[in-house]
Order: sequence, then C-alpha cells, then structure tokens
Amino acid sequence: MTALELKWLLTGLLGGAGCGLAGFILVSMNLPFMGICLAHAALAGAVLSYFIGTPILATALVASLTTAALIGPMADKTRTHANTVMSVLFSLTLGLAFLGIGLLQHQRTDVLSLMWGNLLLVRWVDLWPLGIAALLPLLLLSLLGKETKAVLFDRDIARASGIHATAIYYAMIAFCGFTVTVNLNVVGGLMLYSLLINPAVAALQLAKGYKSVVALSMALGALAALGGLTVSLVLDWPAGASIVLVSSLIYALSLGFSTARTAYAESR
Amino acid sequence: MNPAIEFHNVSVCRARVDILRQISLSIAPGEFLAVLGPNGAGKSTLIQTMPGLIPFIGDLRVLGQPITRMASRALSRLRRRIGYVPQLHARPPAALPLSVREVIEMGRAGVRGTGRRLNTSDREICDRIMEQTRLMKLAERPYAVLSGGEQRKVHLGRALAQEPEILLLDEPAGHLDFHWQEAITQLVGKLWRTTGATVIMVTHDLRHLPPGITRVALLEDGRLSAVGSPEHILQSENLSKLYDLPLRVIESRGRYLALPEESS
Repeated sequence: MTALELKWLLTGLLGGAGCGLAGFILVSMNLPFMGICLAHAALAGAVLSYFIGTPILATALVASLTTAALIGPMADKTRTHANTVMSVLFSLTLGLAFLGIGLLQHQRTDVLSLMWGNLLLVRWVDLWPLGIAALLPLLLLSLLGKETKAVLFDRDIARASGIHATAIYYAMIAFCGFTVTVNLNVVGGLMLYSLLINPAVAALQLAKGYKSVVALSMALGALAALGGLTVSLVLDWPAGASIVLVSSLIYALSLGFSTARTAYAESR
Repeated sequence: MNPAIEFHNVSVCRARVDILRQISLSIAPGEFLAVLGPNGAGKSTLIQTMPGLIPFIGDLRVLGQPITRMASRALSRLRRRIGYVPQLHARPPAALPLSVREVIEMGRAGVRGTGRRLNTSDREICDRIMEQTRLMKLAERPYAVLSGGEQRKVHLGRALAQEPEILLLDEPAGHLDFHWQEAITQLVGKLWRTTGATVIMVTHDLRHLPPGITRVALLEDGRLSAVGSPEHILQSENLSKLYDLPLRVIESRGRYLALPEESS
C-alpha cells in the first residue's frame, strides 16, 4: 500500500466513523436536520475565511458552532420549533456561501471543492482533527454514559431528574459541529448530510441495543466513506457524490434486510 | 412540620400571556394533592415550576430550598429528590433503542452523581421498582415497542427509581384506554401509600384520582379558585363552574365521577 492509499484509507475510516457517531447523536435527539444546518454553516464560514484571511478550519468551526448555539435560544424566544429555525438558518448560510463563491473570482476551484469534497485536498495533518472528531464524542459517551444516554433519550426528563442536561446537550452539539467542519474537505458541505444521517439510520434498522447501534453507526459510516472514496478513485467521480451514493445504498440495504427480518419473524 | 412545597405569589408569564397568576399554596410532606382544571388552565405549567423547569416570579420553596435563588448545581441536586413524569402523549417518540430496564435505570443516573457508574445497590433498587410496578417481565423489551400504558408505567418506575421525596405526575392516565387508565390510577394510589412521598398530580378527569387523596385544588385560568378536601371541593356546582358545563358528581368508595347533567 502506498503512502497516498494509506492516507485515503485513514481519511475514510476516521471521517466516516466520526460522521456516523455524530449522526447517531443527531438522529437520537430527533434533530437530523441539524446536520445539514451545521454543514452549510461550516461551508459559509469556510468561504468567509477566503475574504478575511483567517484559517479555513477555525472559521468554519466558529460559524458552525455559532449557528448551533443560535438554534436553541431562537426557537425558545420565538416559540418556534427548532426544525423551523434550522430551516431559516440553513437557507441563510447556504445563501451566504453561494454569495461568497460568486464573489470569489480567483480561488473558486478551491472553494468549490469544499462544496463537493476533494480527496486531493486532504493532507496528513488533516487526519488529526478527523481522529479527534471521532474520539471526543466517543469519550463523552463512555465517560458520561448514563448521563448522555438520558439526554439522548429525552433532554427534558434528564434535566428534571437532576442531570446537567443542558451542558451535555451543548457539548454533544459542539462535537457534531466539529465533526461536520473537519469533514468538509473530504465529503463537501453539500453532501455531508448523507454521511451523517444514512449510517445512523441504517444502524437503527439493523442493531437492537444502545451500544450496538453506536458501534454500527461508526462502522457503517466508515464503510460508506471508504466505499465512496474507492468508487471515487476507481471511476474518477467526485468524492462527495460517491460517498452519498454508497451511504444511500447502505441505508437501502439495511431497510431491505430489516423489512425481510420482520416479515420472517411474523411468518413464524 | 415544614411544608414539602410552598408557593407564595408565584406567577408565570409567557409571550405576554399570564399562564399562572399569584399562586399561593402550601403542600405538607406525604400529602397527595390533585390539581384539577380544564385544558389551558395552567396545570402543566404549575407542575413544571416545582423542579424549576420554567422561569417564574414570586417565591417557591421546595423541600425547604428557595428555587428562585439556587445555583444550577444546587438545583440539579434538588431535582434528584423530585420524581417527574411529564405528559407523554405530547412528546416525540424516542429514537434511541433502549430497553425498559435502561429507562428505569435512568432514574438512578442523576442520583448516583455525574460520571459515576451505577452500582449493585442502584440495580437492586431498579429491580425492586420493576417488581413493584410489575415491569420485570418487560425488563429487556425495547421501550419503543411498548403500548402507551406500559410506557407510562415505565416512566412512573423511572421516577420512583430516584426514590423521590416528591412525585410530580402530569396526567399520568391521560389518553389511555379504560384498562390502562384504571391500572395507572390504582398504581399511583398504591405507590403513594407505600412510599410515603408527597404526590402532586394534575389531571382534568376525576376518574384518575385514586381513593384517599388528601386535597384537591381547582385551577381556573391560571388562578387557584378552590383548595380543600375532596369531599368539600369535588361538588357538582364547583366542577360545573370550573368546566363551564352542568355536571353531576358521583362519589363511590372514595372514587369520583363527573357526568354531564341532562339538558332540560
């Protein structure tokens, strides 16, 4: 295996596992749309960094976390459902990203790769944030297992029973924002949503217990990313689009397997 | 004896609408207080003020501690002594694949302390609660596949696993079929008698009141219109006024039923 192939393999494993885990958190909290909202906010932040000359990753992260922090208070203050607020912020950040891309004349190719994903942009140094993005939420779920489980199940009930639910909730959302941001290079802001959500939803179809779902979300995320990157390399397709297709295929297969398993169980 | 809960001029206002107005009420330890009122009277809001889940103005002391002036850490510690069962039919379905045992064990999560794993004693408490609520045979079943009645039972069990001094129940038997309404009502009565906890239950249906409860409060448009013994408060004229409908209250062996009067 060449150094380049090893780098792509590690990128797929770490990026996919991290996205699978972040997706599990978002789907468990009934907030799958937050994934797309954070991804587009990160994209807008990354585009902004070209104008103001700040580091891409840091600016995208600030944009993503700021958006995440705005959702709760905006929903509470305006008595609107969080999904509605996310829709507004999603369209705003997408509009800002497109505006920035439109105004950027000379670096448009670089910026477009943040939208669609480009493996060639991934450097060895980028693997560290990908690894941290996979490891930090896993540490949180392990060290504060009973608390995170309660918050993922029902945040209000967790808070009412004396768990520091708000702090844990925002820590989990911040980790999701971080995962989304560091995966922009690989999958692209427009495509990231499917790598976040499809593996987690497929894992919920296939696995039964809590720990199995967490592990399978990460494994399927890694499989989707690796499969997509392989397709991208072999067929010379864009990485992001290939990952979307493979993750969608994984979801379709899990749905088929789950339906067949239920039908078999009912027929016995 | 100090009151378990003491409201003094407590009001809640949301989006410039008064939800609760100047509530003053004292609830003794071990008491079962039923709060009755029509939809929109502020019953759920009232119950949510007690663990400090929503902002309010006025003074509210729970287990001797002033809710309004508490730091977040102290408030979390106080909440571990209060079991809360919210209205479940209004909540989104749980996406997480948890077993009944895991949901019950959630009741120990706060009590055990942040970052500490549940120990043998916690698991024994959960086993005892599951025996008491007859949930043991469902212990390994996924929570999400349970019926509405079974899910209510699980949440009662989860709240009881905290070994709470105060139990707050928001329409625990609402939106269930007759079998489950009766099962939950009897279970609530039994748990109150056996645990000695102070119970505050809100409902709009008299049939959900277990026999022997100590007091009833009527909540009307955010105000307490009457508080007293069930015999004194659950009178046809009081409830007819409360629900704006001619009602006849029937009492039998400590249980109550309200029927609409036939129109002449």
